[in-house]
Amino acid sequence: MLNFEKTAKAYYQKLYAFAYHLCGNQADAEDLTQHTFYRLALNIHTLKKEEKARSWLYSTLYRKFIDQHRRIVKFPTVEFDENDSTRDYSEEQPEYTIDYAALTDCIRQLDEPLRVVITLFYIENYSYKEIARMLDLPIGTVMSRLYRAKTKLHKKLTPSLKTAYVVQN
Amino acid sequence: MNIKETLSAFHPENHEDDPLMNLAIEEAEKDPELLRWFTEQLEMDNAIRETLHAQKPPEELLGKLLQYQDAAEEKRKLISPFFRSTLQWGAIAACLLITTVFAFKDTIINNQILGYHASLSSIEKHDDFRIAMAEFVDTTIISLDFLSEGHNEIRQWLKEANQLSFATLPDGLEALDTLGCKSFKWQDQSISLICFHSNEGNGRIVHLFIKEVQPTEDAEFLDTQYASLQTLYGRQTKGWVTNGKHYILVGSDPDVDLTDILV
Repeated sequence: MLNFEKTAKAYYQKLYAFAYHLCGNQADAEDLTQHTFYRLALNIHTLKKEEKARSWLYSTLYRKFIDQHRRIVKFPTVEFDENDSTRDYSEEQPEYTIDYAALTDCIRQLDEPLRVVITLFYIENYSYKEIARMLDLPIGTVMSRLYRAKTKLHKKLTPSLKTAYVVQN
Repeated sequence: MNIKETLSAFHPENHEDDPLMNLAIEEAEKDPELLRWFTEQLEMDNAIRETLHAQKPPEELLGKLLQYQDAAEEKRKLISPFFRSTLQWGAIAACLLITTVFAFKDTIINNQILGYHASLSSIEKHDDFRIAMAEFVDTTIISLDFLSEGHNEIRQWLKEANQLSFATLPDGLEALDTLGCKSFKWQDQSISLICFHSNEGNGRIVHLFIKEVQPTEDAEFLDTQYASLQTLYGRQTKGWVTNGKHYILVGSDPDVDLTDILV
């Protein structure tokens, strides 16, 4: 049987980050993470393998998210405005890294199908094949969503990235 | 597929045994413009990963989570007397079953129990389907194709998408709100999935999977098998067969009670 404490310590940070990028605020992300580990504590005797636990945790959190989120707001997706000139993140942060708030904001503006894929890719380091398996999507669809999500993020974040790499290198 | 789409999925830890990715990298190495784009992508990936991983959850979160272990243990203790007696009866039943199997093993091995052989393929197919759908719920982040709380809208959407739909449902299911539906393929067969909010609430879901009965399957026999409650992957499963379709119910977690849903 899995060890609860070991599993919690191994996954809670990434799971919280996944929740945060799905729902976009700390309070809801904490609630989702707590709900997920509460369910793990109750059901840990049914999960025998470590690798099963990882996908179980993400699946449980995501199911809770879609149920809460879709019941309340019916997914009012925000259009990603690539010509949005009201915010220039490159000027907002003087450090030579990507500003976390800016990055979070950009991820939040992605449509949910792109947001889920990109979050699993960056935070949990899932491969595109693992993401396809988890989301029950064709591999080509996952690649296409990663490409579209990255293109949008890149356009928004490029000024700050260039600053970072010119100075650092 | 666009080569940039393939390269977008590049992962530094997971590409070595991936011919598709290695081919795309070879192509990039021959094309300076593509290589420059790919290098920029990798820089962006690293920067985004570093930024995202630098963010830590609230300090008190781990402490709160670890308390759930104790709470769950308390809950288990409350029900353990029941399980203890269940386990005792289970052990007795297992002994009886083993004794019976030994007593009749020749008959069983020779498939001489009436109807056993004829029904074997049906049992296997039925079990495959039920087990596969329980595993699907256990391991998949389900992304729905269509969202609606109305049964009629779900029916309409499935019909227009040329997918398996449902005519009438048992009263227990008719009473539940739907969340949405999706369609997918399993072993080259079309499957429709309809998600219902369970009576237990708190985000719990009842999944209804629909598949056509194949010509090689015995629908009448399957119906008697589906009606039995089985726990698979820690979830209750139950179902029925009607008008040439299999219906399988799978709860989203162990607390979803399907016992009375088909009554």
